[in-house]
Amino acid sequence: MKGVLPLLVLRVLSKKPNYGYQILAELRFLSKGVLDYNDGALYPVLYQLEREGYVESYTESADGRLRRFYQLTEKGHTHHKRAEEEWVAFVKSVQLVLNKPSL
Amino acid sequence: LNNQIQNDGATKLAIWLKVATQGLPPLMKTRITTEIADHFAEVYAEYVANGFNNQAAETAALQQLGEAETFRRSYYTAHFSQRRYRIGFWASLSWFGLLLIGYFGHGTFADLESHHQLLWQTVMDITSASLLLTIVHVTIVLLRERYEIRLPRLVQAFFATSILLVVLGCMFAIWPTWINPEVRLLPFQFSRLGFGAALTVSSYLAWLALHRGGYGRGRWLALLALALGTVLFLDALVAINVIHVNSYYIRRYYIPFMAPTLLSASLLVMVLLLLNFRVLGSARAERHT
Repeated sequence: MKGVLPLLVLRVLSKKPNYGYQILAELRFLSKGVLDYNDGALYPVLYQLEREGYVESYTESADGRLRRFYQLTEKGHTHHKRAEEEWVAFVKSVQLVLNKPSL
Repeated sequence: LNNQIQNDGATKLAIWLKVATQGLPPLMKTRITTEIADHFAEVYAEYVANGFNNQAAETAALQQLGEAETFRRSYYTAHFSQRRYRIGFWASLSWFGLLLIGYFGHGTFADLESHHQLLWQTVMDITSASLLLTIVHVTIVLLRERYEIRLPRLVQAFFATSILLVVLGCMFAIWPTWINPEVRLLPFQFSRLGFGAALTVSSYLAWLALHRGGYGRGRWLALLALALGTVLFLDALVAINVIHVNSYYIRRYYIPFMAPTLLSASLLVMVLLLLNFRVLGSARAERHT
């Protein structure tokens, strides 16, 4: 589950720039509460994505608070597309194995 | 922090943040502290809105953050410092291994034909230079990013004493042969003194490595590297003392090149290990307090 978090974060950010709390809220909402990561797990992932140049951050005032927003870079969009394709291919192949009646 | 958060909650969060950000560069520390504190305040407000009382909301918000130590480890992985450290660590050890091969294999390689010897020397030099550059790069990056490198006072004293001993040793070992050959006994006496001092301090360092350095296997690796570093250091001290030995190789190569190289290798290994102690050992210290 942990290794999927960067991909999920990229997915959430591909829609619009967002900040930590909202990214997690979005993940919980989209997965109907199934993906309930520790809040602390998100930030190292965000820092790593930023360090690798997939996302960039900026501070902006929202709801009366100064928040750090994250948004995908061009490189991040490309990486996200590729990672998503790889993931879909991976899930399909796992399903193929799991659905084999001989197993 | 949200004004509603009581002092108790703020203190708990402060402790969490202290653990989570320990050893990180100051700029990153500030950023994480601000971001996590804001996040905490939002989660707290959400719990309060859902009918939790203040204390329960604080506890739940803190639990939701997860383990501070896990956060710190993830952060270090994310920030590549662990990777950098590992690169530096293994580069140091490999370099040290290379030096040992060169040192002990000297007699064997001396018997090789000249063109084989040249080939061997070139390979050794290129590998050694690459490893040295890697080590220097890692050290510079760590220093530039202002990772907290706080050496215990006794270790600082050790480094200071070592440098002083070597500088004095070089002076004592070199000038008598040039100026007054009668004073040749001095380096020997000095070397014994240096040997004793280095042995005493290295015992302390070994104790430090065992009791305060890293975790599990890392601790033993650290101890091993420390011991090897100490041996190299002692070797360098002894090497300074053999200047009056009538050997062309020792005069021409060992003294001017090998001794300073071995010494810098041992110092680099130690510095990198101590960086590790700072990063990994702090979590262990926290568990005790």
